[in-house]
Amino acid sequence: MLLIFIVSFTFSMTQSIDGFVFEHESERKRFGRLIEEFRCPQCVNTNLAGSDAPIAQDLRKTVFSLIQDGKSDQEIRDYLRERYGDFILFKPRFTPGTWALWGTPIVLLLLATWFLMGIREKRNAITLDLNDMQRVKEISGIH
Amino acid sequence: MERRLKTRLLLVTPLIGFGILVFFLGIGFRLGEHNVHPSAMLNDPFPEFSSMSLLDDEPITREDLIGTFRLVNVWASWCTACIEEHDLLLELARSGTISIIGINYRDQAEEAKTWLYERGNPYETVVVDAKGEICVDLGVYGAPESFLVDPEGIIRAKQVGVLTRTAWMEEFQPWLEAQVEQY
Repeated sequence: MLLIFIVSFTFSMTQSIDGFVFEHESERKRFGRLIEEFRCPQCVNTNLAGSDAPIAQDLRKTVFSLIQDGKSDQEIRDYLRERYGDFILFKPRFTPGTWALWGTPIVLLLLATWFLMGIREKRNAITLDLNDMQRVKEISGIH
Repeated sequence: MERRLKTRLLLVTPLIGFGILVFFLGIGFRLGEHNVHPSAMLNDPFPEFSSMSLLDDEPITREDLIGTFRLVNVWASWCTACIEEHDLLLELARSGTISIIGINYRDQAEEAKTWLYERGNPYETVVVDAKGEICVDLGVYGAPESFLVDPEGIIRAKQVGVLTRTAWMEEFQPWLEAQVEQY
């Protein structure tokens, strides 16, 4: 029990990821979030956090030192994008080249809504038709 | 009659969807490798750096690099793909086609020197980048990688991965020839 306490205590004291030591818990969290946001340039479908490629190690170091320099999240994103292009961002920016990417889901949603509303209207129309038929039958007395 | 038309339209919808998919996949495949690694640093100035020369331990900065056309080549002794382009680099250096500057990426100095001694040295100077800091500033993906830098220090062409003969002939050489005439 005491051992567990000591171990957990030392862990919370160092606040380090992978050899990087942070002064504040908030910085460590920022670091963890940022390295998950960038794609490892060499390995296509892994982020910086999950890659052991030399370039990913270097970029983690870069992100760490940029945080130490007091750079904002956006400044760090811009720094990496200037050097590695949009490729490095897992969440693409809204540019003339990516409008289709961002716009398609919205357009599809609108189309689906329009389509569903069309079906509902048609169903209502049919129900009305049947009601009318019923009334016609009742009034006319023919079954 | 109208209903039949609608049913037909509904039947061809998957076909239209498939058509759109093929259209975009077609564009995607045609873009090919080039857009997988976009040339982010193209037409940007070569970044500032200050380091040491591998062979004589002299300080070296960006200033030493500019003033003439350079082929800047990122390599390392641990990099097996670098061996593939080595013959071409030696050829370019020996024929005096272009001055080649090496950037020794995340390497041990002794191993790098041995590598050059055993295989021949195409580099006019080798810049030490043991921590990979210059390479991050250059937007390097990994070794090997090559940049064509003009006398003003602007990056004009870039090859991610092995500098093949084809890449040299098709992208680096035509640009170099056109520019050399101007200077």
